[in-house]
Amino acid sequence: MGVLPGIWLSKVPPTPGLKPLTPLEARGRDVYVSEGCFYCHTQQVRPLSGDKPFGRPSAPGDYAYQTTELLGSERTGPDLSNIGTRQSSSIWQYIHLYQPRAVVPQSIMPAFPWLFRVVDELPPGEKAVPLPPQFAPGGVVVPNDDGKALAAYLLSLKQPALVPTQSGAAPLSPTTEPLGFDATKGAALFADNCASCHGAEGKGVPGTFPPLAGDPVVSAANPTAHISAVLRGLSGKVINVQKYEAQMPAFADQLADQQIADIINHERSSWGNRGALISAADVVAARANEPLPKQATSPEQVSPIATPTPSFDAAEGSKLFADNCAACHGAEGKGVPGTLPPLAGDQVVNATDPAEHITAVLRGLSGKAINGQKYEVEMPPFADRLSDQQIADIINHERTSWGNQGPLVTPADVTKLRANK
Amino acid sequence: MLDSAAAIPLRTGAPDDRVLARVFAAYVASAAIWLVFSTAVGLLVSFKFAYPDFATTPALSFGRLRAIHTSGTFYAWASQALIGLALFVAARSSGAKLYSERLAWISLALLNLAAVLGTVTLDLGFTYGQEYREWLWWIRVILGLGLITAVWNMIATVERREGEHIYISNWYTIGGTLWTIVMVVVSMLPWYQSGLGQVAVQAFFMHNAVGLWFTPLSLGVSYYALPKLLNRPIYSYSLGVFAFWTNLIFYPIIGAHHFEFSPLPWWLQTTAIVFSVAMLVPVLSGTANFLLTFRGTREWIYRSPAMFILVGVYGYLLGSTQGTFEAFRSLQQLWHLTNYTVGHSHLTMYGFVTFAIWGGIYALLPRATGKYPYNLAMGIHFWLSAVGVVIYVAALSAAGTIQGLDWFRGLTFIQSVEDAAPYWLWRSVGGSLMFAGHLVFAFNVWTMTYSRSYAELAAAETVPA
Repeated sequence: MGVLPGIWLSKVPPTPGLKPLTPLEARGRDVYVSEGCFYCHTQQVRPLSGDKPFGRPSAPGDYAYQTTELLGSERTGPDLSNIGTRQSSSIWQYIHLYQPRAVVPQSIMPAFPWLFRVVDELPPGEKAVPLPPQFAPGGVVVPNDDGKALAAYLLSLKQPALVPTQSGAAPLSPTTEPLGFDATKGAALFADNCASCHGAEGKGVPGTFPPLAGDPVVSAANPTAHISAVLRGLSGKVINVQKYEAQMPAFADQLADQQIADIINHERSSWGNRGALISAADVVAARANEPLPKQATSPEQVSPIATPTPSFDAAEGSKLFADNCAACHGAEGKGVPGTLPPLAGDQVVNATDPAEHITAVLRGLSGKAINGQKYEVEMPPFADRLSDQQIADIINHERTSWGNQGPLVTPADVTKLRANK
Repeated sequence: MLDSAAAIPLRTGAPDDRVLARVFAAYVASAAIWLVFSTAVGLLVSFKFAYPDFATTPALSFGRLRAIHTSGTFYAWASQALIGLALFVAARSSGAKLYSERLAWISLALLNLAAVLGTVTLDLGFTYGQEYREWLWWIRVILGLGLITAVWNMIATVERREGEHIYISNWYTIGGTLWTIVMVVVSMLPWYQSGLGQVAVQAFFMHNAVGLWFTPLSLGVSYYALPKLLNRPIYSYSLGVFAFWTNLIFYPIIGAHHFEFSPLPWWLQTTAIVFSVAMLVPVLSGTANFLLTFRGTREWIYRSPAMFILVGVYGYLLGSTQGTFEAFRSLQQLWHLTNYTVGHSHLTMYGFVTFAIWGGIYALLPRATGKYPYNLAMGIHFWLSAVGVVIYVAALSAAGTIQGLDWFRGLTFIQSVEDAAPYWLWRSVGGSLMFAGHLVFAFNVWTMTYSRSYAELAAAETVPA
């Protein structure tokens, strides 16, 4: 029972784009193992709503180069499958390893000062770890070889995108024919709930996650099977002679009927698919397990196009900020002066013209001088990780919190600057 | 059955018995030292949740000590105690003398050698990096040799039995040890353990290390100790045999329920869930068998070591049933990867296995050495450990549920850490009580073995048959 699956699963081919570890990263993994990081940090993202902040659901091929396996059995600290993308600054990693509470005050992670050495003078070719004064040991702190290897390993933990991204995020093309459903909403819901496996372009990863473009169920005139798959999930299905083992989660409890209808209509009208559209009522019927003999409803019945709202969702903004920004800038926007820039009272955050603020979030920053203080820690770009709406929410949260009084922005502002490469 | 354990005469005083008593006492004393050491480590580690900057040195860091705590309690404390008990039961239930005293010493030496080397290497940061098999492979070879010599001794002793029949305890202890040897070998060979394949093997190993080693040995020992204590036969011999075989068939298949929603194949996970439900069969029949054996006992058992076994039986019932329910996907969504699992593992390894071992030791060691523990000290040990483990399991079950709900509600991760913090402090409170209980237990072991206490003299006149 252990051996047979072992023989067979040892031969899973790597996910396309997955890189083997360099010797330095491999040494870092040994440090990760010997310090027991895996007792508190998992490396498996489950297809469950609670796991979403950690990346896309893990695919079998993600572990092809991972022996010793480090999936873990406990998550006292966050999952690290994609930490290299989520927290891409090596300086942040160093500060956090030396003393986690220097950047995350509530953290209970052990400190690892033995991965560093304290010297009187900065050796040539080394970079000092810019610790906040109350945590600095008096002297210059530089990572030792184990410390460098561990940071390199952590930064190598990037889930390969399951879709080739040669064209970047394609703007949603305005459709010439009226689709009769809210295309923007459908696309956004699809991006949030489905794209991590099926890909933004519906291409999936043949053999691991089924493509939706050209799929017979998606294009079928009778939508019953399609709706049912979204409501109840699927696994072990054979599509085009290929068996798909990965579990598709059930969305019945996670999404409203209208949302499911929007997603399904998005899938049925994108990437060359031309399936008949459905309405929320069809989803209600499918939920009740009624067969749908009729053709899908005519477009007129479906939801009216939502008007864009000028205000912003403060709760959403605050949550997104906590997930993406607070680790460095602090929940109170205070940052760590000298190491990680404060946002409270920052000029750019309060500026009337939001362009610089938006650009910083979209493309990241490093080496910038603020109030005569140079900040070395690299801020990662968020353009590929967050939607325009999400970035606008974050920026509006920053502009309305901790005494800041910057004017609000709209997702359209973000869209414009995104295009402005 | 005619030849139930209660019917087998004790022959204290014969030279054979002195050899047996000497071996048994040494195993228990060695195990008790490991218990105190490993749980001291566990207690230290638990305080690091509240004071993460306490004792920040490599040798005292959480990532290294955690493995020392789990490996120490598993392969030193519980394994040594259970093998000592199993050797004693093999000889006594067969009415034969121990096959080889020298072999018994060799096993004990190998087990201790593995435990010492394992502890030292883990503390220096050398680990295989897989939960419950952290010891380096050559240390696990030593452990395996310890098990092989032990099972050889058990089988050869039972071979010398007087009747044709093999008492049920020996089925459990010998069966469990043989299975564990197979498992140790399977977990060591590298050919099928790369990437996801290693996950499958790990799922197989980490679960069976508990269920095919500690479970059958604890049950087997209880099948001998309980009839001795209550002076009546086990309720149903056939029910015990039935539970043995169903346990053996169902258990090896359920390990993958530790990796639900992981990239392991979905069918493997589903199979594991189905057989997790099937495990209710041996669990319920085993529990019923013990509880029916207890039926009609009078209040005097509250002052008897049988209380340890009673707690063990309830720990077995609760822990195993909880395990079945945890395996369901709907509940696993909430509880998997949280501290709930840690609560569960302590309910089973402590509430069941460790209590059953204590019951066996308090029941049988005085019968071997003729030295009895103070009743008061036994009572203090019982209550410290029982109250401690209840606080421990309750605190971590609550912590795990809160963590799971926080993740579900999409709160930030650090929020789940803050919300669980008060319960971690309660866990340390429970752990402190448990550890205090272990110190009293160590004292009791000393009274039962190497001391010349007045309890020995007082009790010697009133030894029941």
